Amino acid sequence: MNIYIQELKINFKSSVFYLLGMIILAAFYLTFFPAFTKDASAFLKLLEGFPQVFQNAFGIDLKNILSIMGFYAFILFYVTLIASIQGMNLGVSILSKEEREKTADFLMTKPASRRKILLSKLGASVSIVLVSNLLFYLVSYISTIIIVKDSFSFKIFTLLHLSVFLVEMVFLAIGFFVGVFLKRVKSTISITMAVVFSFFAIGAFAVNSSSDKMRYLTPFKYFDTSYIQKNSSLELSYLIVSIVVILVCLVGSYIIYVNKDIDSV
Amino acid sequence: MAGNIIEIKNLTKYYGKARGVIDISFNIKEGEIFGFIGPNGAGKSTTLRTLLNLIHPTSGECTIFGLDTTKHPAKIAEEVGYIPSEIFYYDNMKVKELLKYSASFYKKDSKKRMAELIDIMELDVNKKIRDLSLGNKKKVGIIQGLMHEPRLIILDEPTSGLDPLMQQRFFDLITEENKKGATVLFSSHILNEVQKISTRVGIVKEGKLIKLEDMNTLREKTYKRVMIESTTPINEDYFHINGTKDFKLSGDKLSFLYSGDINLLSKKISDLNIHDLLIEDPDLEDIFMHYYVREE
Repeated sequence: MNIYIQELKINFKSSVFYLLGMIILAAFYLTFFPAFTKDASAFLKLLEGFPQVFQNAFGIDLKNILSIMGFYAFILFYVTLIASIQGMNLGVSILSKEEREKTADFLMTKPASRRKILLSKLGASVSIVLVSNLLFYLVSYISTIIIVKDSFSFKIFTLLHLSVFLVEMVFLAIGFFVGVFLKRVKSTISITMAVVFSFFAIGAFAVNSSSDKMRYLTPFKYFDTSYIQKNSSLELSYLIVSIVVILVCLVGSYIIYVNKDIDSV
Repeated sequence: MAGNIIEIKNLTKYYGKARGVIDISFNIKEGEIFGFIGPNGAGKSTTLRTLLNLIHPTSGECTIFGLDTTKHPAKIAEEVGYIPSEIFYYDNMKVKELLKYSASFYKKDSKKRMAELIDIMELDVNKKIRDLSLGNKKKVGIIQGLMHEPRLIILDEPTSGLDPLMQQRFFDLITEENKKGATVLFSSHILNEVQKISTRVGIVKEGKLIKLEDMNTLREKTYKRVMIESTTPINEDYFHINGTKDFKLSGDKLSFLYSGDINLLSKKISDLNIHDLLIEDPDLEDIFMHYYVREE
């Protein structure tokens, strides 16, 4: 429990920063919604002016964007990006911290098995992601009610948020897997950005690709917001894929972490 | 008779193709202060880090308190205090927070001993780790390594960064812990530091243990350092008798190591017109060099 609490303390500030980022972004976009619906046809015309490829790449879904959930899905497209950066960076930094900052000799010679250390770090990371998402969900729900005033499906709203949480969890797991290999890196954010934006770019290709299989290659496309709005559910096959990716990355990290040699400083 | 606290059997460690240690075997008995000496890169840290389960052996096995170090590292760590050569802690933490965090890993209540050690080491616990000098970081390392009163203390080049006064306090502390029953394994390339407190030494060279010796026996069995200052120039060949080596001639001063018949040596000296004579136990540097020279 002591390692878990320590990790929560260390990551508290940055978690608040990410949470505020997500809340401000969502609230900022939401305030546009009343004005947007007032002059919907002009706005639609403007968006239609963008090429289809561009619309797809930037999460603009013209069929749904006039509805509050369609507009909200557009907002969450960018929130998911922030959440992914948070998840990935948390995973990379929390697992590589000891070796990057040379504190491994301290922590790993204490009466705590590597299994316990890894599980404590995983527990702290999942707690941070879960609490951040829950708080974001609650604040967004209240903000949407206050700002938008239209009625909307609670289930779709919840499923859209669940998709953000799941994508962040996938990136957290990928972060753990990347972090277990890092030793001499000072800052993890550059690695995080490179990985997240690579997947984001793949997502832009995937959405414009004729083959649906491209979607398997990037967590950003595991949960299609149009599908959620239409069916009030997540796509089972992609849900399974995301859980498999999470498990493979975490089990892989565990095996490597428990068996790796810790170099002298 | 005291049992073995540490048993190392045929320990070999390779880092890929690079040699760490090769076929090292030795035991350390309860209550010993065991000095592990050798130059940098000889394999001292590799051996210590294997014992601490920071690295995994290529072959061979190590036990501490009768437990396999690869299978029960956390159980073993409950009664081990480790002070590394270079100290790195969480920079944003205050010293007191770090020590509290360290204490939280142990079942024992170590508050009292922690307070005593802070007093002895004269450490300001309200400072942040990042603001500490190298020496003060080392003090934090010493306190966190000793505050739970471990049965086994493992020290890797422990005095680097400490001023001479603090080094002495540190040695006093280790000796005090040893008197209370702690066993000490202590690696160093600073030989007179090992000489100060060790009861037995292991000498390691190029990954292999080349000598395991009781400290007193090592001193008795080995050479005496002879230094002669003469009023007339000394011919080095004059002392080329059985048991001499490592001649150093500087003007009228001659120094060499001698392990032969002391009567023969005294006769040789008596035939000279000497100005000053010193015959002393060699320090570990000499002993160390002796083994190294012989091996080569």
